[in-house]
Amino acid sequence: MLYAVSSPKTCNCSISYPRIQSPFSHQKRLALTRLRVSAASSAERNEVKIEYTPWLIVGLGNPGNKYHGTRHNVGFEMIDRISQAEGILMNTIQSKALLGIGSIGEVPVLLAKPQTYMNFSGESVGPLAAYYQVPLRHILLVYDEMSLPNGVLRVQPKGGHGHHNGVKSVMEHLDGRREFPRFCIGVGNPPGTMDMKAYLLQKFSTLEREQVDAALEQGVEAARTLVLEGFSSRINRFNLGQKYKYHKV
Amino acid sequence: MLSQNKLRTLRSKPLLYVTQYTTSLQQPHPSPPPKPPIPIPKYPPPFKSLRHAKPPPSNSPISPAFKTHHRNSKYYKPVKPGQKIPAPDGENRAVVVGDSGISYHLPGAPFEFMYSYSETPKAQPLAMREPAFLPFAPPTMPRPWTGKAPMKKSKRKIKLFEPLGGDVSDEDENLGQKRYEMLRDYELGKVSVRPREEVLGEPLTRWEIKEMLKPYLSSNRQVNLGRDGLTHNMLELIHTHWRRQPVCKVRCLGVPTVDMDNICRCLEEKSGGKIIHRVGGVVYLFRGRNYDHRKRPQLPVMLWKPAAPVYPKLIQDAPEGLTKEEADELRTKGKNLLPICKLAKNGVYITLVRDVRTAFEGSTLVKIDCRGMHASDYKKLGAKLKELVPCVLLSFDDEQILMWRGKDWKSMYEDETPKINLSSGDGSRVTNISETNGVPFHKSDAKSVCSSPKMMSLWQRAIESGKASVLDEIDLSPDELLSKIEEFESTSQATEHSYPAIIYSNREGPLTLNAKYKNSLEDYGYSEEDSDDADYNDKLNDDSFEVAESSVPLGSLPVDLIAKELSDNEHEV
Repeated sequence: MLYAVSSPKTCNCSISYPRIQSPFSHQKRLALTRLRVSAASSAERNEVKIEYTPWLIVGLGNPGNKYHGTRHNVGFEMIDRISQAEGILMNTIQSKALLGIGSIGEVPVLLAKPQTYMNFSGESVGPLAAYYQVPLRHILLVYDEMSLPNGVLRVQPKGGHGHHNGVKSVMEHLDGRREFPRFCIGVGNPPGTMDMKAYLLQKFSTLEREQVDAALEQGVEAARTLVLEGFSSRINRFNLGQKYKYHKV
Repeated sequence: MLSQNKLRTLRSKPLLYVTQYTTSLQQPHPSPPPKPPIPIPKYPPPFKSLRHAKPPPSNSPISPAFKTHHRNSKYYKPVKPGQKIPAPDGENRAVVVGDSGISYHLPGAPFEFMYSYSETPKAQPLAMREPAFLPFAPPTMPRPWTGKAPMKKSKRKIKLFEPLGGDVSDEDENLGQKRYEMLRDYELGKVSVRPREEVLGEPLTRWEIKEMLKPYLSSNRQVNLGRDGLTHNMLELIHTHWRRQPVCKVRCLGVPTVDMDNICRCLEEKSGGKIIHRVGGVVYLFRGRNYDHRKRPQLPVMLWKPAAPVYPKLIQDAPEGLTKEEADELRTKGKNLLPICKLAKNGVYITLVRDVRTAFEGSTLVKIDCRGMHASDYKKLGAKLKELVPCVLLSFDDEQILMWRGKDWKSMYEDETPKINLSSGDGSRVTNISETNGVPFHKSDAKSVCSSPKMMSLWQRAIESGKASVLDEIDLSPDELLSKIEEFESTSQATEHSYPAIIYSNREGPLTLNAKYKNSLEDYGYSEEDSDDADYNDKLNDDSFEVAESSVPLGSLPVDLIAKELSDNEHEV
């Protein structure tokens, strides 16, 4: 099996007062010791080596016309964008999900949209990952996140379920493991005392729709970077940029 | 003409009538108002202080920190940097105007005393708001300082007291004895500082720290550090805590938490202890292994809070090279800006500097929402941010801090790795390299799927074995897609859960499957218990594996017949 082993060294820089450098800048000083056993040699650039283990990018959502374009289904929309951008056809049905096999650059990628209802997404994701032998750290879950403002994206290497039933079910079916990366698309809190479920199954307003469309474009780029480089300082900068993207003059 | 009118009014008619009468008769312009029956009394003008109506006192009691006299007084005495004003008490004491505010120089003191060690801004003070007077007790007094008036002659018996701990000679002989002294002059200013390493002793090991911290983690016996930072009297307070417990817990809230590193440094230097643990705004100070309360430096206590000097204004009309118009333009732009965060009144702002710096990466202006805080607090916050994140303060209106990043702003990242290009008009700073590091992508718009050979083989195998199926049309509506998937699921489960089984009996050759299957079909068709059936089938498979597998054409198993029946029923209904 061709895959790269990485063991980043912990940074021993002494932090003296005042702390001028950002905490993210010491990532670039990590000496990545990776073994690359591969024939393709186009990867000599800027000390970033590609891992050729396949990625499974799953977008969570509800199937059917009734739920098309709702807040809870942004995962599906993101997967559609990625498949359009990379030219990957989603033409296979396997394990209750719509599947597309392809690659981003040199890295094999599987795009999946589980067509079970949201609370049972794990039933399709789990067996799929097992069949294609995708390691846990390469399962990217794309879903909507209420704790982020509308249109803000965030890529995390691991995390919790944030009371999202889809993520909860995926975690259950992956033996309760949480160490898979997530791609959160913010949809904002429900206004006032609106019911959370009703809010999520609503469609976007026009302004929000534009914001989310812009966000999806940026997200495609981020997904590409993630698959090619893993969790690098570029992903950190992307997260920070997203956090403050509406605070511009 | 006027006199005629007057005559008429005096004669007969009431006042009201007259005006109408006269206006309708003669004058084109309105008549003057009628004279009042008595002349208007002239009251003196209201006092200057009453002219500005004071707002009704709010429900929250004003803290004594805001009631000092110098806020209302108009004393203003300009000072030059480096000026030393000798105190009228004489004896070598002086008020020093240094580059870090006002400090007090007492003879015999280990360092210059200030009101606040962590919160004095680095800017040069311009003037003082009160006469230069050291806020400490005077060096000599004719009688001991007891805090009370002198006693009557009848009460002047000789009273004996235990020594206050000013002198410690030999410990060993003093252990068993009790020493009493007459009341004598309280000697102020005799400060002897033990060297820090001697007091601290050996550095603590990790488990020692853990053990020592345990009782203090949930207790609330602590020294509170508020908006004035580390004050001079707080040092005395820390020593009283250390008298009883080896660890003093200092909880910092409010404006000083913006720069926790500075607070920790000041605490360690001035108190002589060592910080063993730091969480958020809480600092745990260890006194040292060889700490002796009697040998501690006995610093004089500050008796009142001195007035803060006048510092140069925080917000200028045309700051740092901008013209007034440009600054105003920036301010109007900032009116529509979203604040990056909302600060609580007495909160912990540890990540504020980092957040502001990262926000400056994306925008030239940054706004912070400080509603609910005292005005002096958010102004102090602005001053601290101006020093720490180097930035320029533009305005404090609406209780929001508006900051500009300055002309000579340099990004933290130095752009070695270009950031992910934010397309679709959202990125104002676009880096040149958008293609990640020059690798061309294969955007295959052809129908051929290219991926790693392993994935392709797995995919092919899935299709062949019936676990997956390839759709002919790609753009299905979600409902159609859902129905296709459900349909496929039922058929694929059928193929997954059924295996060819050969039954050998003594009399006949291998029986075909139908007989066996018809009996056990009921199990397979309805139950969805994957694990049980799988195990059962695996066992069956293993048993009959040596025998040649009979090849059954796909779709002709009895299970398939049942599945077809069921789906036909659905269509009918």
